[in-house]
Amino acid sequence: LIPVNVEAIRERLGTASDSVAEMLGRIEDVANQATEFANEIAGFAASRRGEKQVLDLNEVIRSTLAEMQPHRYQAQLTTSLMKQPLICEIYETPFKQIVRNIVLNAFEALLKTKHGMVTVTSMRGGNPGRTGCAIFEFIDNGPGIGTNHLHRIFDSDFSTKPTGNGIGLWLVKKQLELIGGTIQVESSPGAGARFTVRVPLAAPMDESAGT
Amino acid sequence: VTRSSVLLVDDRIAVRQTVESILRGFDAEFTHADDGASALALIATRPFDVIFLDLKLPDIHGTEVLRRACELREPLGRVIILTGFLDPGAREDAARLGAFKILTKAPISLGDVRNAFTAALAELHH
Repeated sequence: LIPVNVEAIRERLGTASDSVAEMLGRIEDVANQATEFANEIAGFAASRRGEKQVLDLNEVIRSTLAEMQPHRYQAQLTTSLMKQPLICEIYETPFKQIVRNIVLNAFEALLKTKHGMVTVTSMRGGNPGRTGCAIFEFIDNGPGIGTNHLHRIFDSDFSTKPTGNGIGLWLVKKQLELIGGTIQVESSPGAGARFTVRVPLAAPMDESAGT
Repeated sequence: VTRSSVLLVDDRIAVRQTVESILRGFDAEFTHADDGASALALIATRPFDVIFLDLKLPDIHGTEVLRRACELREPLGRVIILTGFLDPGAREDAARLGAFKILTKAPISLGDVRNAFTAALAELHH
């Protein structure tokens, strides 16, 4: 309701007052940011979290990525996922939102990169705990993240996007913590970025199955 | 041309007032209803040229309001659905029941509301 009312005010105002128009612009910007913020939070809301489910994260990631639209960012999205299932206990909707969030961040980082590419890989590894964990890497060949930004990237008030609210990666981290998972980032300017997500496996790895 | 009568049906007063503001330039008289039952009560007693109808009302679903309204009055007037969340089923129901235009409230488009209203009035005066 805010944008349409601002539009109606602007219309009635005509070109009479530049300073008022400027203030209206600010209201509009903030309203748009608030909408974006609310949508983002809603995706993670406890009321929509549902029950924890035991799922193959390779499948969850595959279906989530299938719905994404890399061409809108002139980027390519490739995957190299394990054929063996990575069974973890997760909240499905928030987990999909986590994946979308990380990949969208990468797409946005690639906007000025020719032949921008995001690669998602999966593997199994040790820790946390005795069960081992599923490891997912999200690698992009974008401009990378400056060292001065790197340690703040998961802070709730950090963003480099002009209209960003800084909540995205912070929420991702919080949501991963709920299922015993972690997220780390490695990057250097000009050399792209790699986000590594670890989620504990639901049961210890069957060593005989090999890795 | 006589003043047109408009019924605004929405449980949020801010929505009804916003639509009224958007249509301020038209020579129209606005009546408000905040749920389906009061909308139907109004429709039973007097005609409206245009009805803006929300689908998610606290008491009766908008498509049901539309169905009952069609039984109350013939012709009903032009019905413009203005709804926040539109499932495909509701869109089909509304179209089948003769809704004139189906608009989304998320977000409300000033241009769309005015165009729909102008088109509705144009049809009425033909």
